[in-house]
Amino acid sequence: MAERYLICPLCGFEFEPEDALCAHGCPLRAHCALVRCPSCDYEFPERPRPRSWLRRLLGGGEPTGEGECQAMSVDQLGAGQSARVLSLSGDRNRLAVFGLVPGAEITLLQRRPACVVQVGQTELALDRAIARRILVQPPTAAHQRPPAETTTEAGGA
Amino acid sequence: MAGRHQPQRAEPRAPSGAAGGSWPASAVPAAPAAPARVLLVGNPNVGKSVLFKNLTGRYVTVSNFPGTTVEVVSARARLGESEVEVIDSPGINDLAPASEEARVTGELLRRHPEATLVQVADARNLRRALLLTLQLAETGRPMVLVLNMLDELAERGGRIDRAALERLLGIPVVGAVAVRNHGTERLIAALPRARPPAVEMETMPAGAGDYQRNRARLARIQRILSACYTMHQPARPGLAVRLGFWAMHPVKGLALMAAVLGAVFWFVGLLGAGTLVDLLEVGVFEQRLSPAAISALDRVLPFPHQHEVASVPGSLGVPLTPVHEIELAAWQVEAVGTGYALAPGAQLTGGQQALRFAHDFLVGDYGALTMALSYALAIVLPIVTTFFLLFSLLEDSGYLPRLAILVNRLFRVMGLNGKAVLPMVLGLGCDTMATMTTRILETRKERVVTTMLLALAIPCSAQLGVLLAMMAALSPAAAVAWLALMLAVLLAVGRLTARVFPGEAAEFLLEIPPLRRPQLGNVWLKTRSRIGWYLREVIPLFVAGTAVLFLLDRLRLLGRIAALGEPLVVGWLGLPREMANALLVGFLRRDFGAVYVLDAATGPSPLLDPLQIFVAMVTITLFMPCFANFLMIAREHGQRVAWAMTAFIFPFAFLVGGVALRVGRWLSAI
Repeated sequence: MAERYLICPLCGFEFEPEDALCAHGCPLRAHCALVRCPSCDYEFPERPRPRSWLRRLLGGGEPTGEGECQAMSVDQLGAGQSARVLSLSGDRNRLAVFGLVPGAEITLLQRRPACVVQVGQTELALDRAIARRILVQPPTAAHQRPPAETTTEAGGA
Repeated sequence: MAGRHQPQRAEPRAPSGAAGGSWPASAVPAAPAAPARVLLVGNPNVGKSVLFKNLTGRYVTVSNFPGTTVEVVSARARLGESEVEVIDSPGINDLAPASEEARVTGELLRRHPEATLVQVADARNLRRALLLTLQLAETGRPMVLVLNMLDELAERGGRIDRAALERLLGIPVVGAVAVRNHGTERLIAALPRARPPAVEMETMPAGAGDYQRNRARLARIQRILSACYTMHQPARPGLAVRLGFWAMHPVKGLALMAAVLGAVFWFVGLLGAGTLVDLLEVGVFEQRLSPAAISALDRVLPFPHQHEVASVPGSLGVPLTPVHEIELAAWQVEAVGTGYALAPGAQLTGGQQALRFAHDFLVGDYGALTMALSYALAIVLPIVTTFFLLFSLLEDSGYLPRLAILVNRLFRVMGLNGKAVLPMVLGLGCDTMATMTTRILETRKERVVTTMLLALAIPCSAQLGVLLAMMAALSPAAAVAWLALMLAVLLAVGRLTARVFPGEAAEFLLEIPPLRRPQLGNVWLKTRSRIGWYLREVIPLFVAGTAVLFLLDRLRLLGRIAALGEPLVVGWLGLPREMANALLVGFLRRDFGAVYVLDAATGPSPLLDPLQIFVAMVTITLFMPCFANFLMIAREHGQRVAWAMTAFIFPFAFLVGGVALRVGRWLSAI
């Protein structure tokens, strides 16, 4: 099935329209033409305006990729850290049936010998390859929990 | 079956003749009456099978590892006023037919369009349960939701507002603690109130896939949960939770694994294969049953002969290490043996010849009673029993998926992922049964590679017991060498097979169930059903194998066939001629052959020197899997794969055995 992806003009993060973040209770709702990048919170129009001949002449208006793409994959988290899922790729339904979808809060319990994440009350062991395809918002200080059991050497690698 | 499951729009309509086909309209619960048929559905490992037992009074396999209830179990039960058929479906996470279990469940839903659905939910995992609820809602069936394991939810600091959930879903919601049989009456009382869930359906674009649908459902679930579900983690995780973490830890996990393996070795290898086998083989069979059978048959089938009588020593002790034990008792019994001499000068008549034939068939050297039954019941049964008991205990505790995590890296080398450790461990019990459970692996490649490794290098419990006994005659260094050689073969052949067989191994994604205290009744029933399966399969094969051996011996063919294999066995493997027999027997059952070798290795007058024992051990371990295993491979993967594996395993076992002999000779020469 053909997927339609949006690309953030600021940071270059690719995401699906359904993952576009909009504030809850935004009065504009469906009338709003803007989407918000889940990675860097930059707002931009969902359908880019066609570039005018003047812009083309001056060479501007292309996505720059200069802004910092904040998304990181789950296996880059430290053990015991929690983060919100931004996007999945690959066989996404395999993860979705466990409740692991964009927007869900997940905790990386350990990194070795295999990544183990907790989503809700479910613990899932994942191959590194799958873990790399789960992109999360980097945890802020408020997000960090005191590390669980498996910490001392699991933080490295 | 091929197409995608097309969920119907949920309309609270009764399944009419058009939908139900042969089912009369009276089966529809119009008035509050119990339904005629109840289908239990739910996520894996939520206690469906225990609830099934609570409802029907019977027991089916309940397990902590996703994927064991592959068979569908049903039973009739009296629930309240009426007789109801209860069907237990395999655990699923998604109704879309992506897995074997989901296909089976979809088929059950189609086959019983009038059945009332009872969804069993793990109360701690309400989100996942509700995902299934919303999928089931689209089929428009009358439903009841059971929130199981409410006690564990409370332990974790969670709470569910049942009334709110009932209102939001529009179906009866019943709380339960199935393992303690709490809530079963409430469920039975709620059955007549079952109705199709009254939730609005998502409006999805026509092309939306399973993922998009599930995401929309999960968004709705988020709203439901916020209205009825509160959860806060307790500050300090309980012992089970912490132990669960240790079991997956790179260092502590390995230590725990070593402890578990040590316990398995002591319980199965020393207690089962040592103490119990001695007790049964010597104390029961050689000292009591065989003499009784021989003297009884001598009365029924009289011909002039005299049996040898020998003094058989027996002992009972608690094993500490392979060579030390605390002896508790020792005794001697004068017992009649199978060997006999004809009365001097006696000339047997035709009738007496026939009697002698029957006598030898039953209680001779290759007798159905003296050899087949004593091997099956006295040597194999204790080992298999102790192994399955321990395996069921580990399975029920939720340890096995954690083991899968620990060995994932190692299994990657063989083109497998950690999940394959489950059939491999079960293979230490019975390779044939393990071949059947390779179905839990996702790709055909993984299934074939695992089957191959099981057939080649994983010794089954009967074999293992015999190998351990042979090992006792060797130095510890030889035992380590054997283990290292088997691991090397496992890795090398696994890698090779993975290269040869096309396809990719699936990426590893495994749910880790919480570590639980095993339910002893549950463990015992699982063990019993596995032993039952094993005995039904093993005893006929032992008797048939012995009968073939007896006939070959009688027709003087045994010697001739052994002579044919002699160049290979004597020349290449450096084993005595008699060993050809053992390898021949090993074709019928690998463990059976191993038992035969054990007699030659550690009997009263050992035929083999230590190096020969080592070579025999290697060859027997790698040798052709038992005949039943061959049949199972053919059933699971087709004749072609089965023959290809056979064609590889035979020469390979001889090759490795011969190389081991030459290396051993070279080592002892320098």
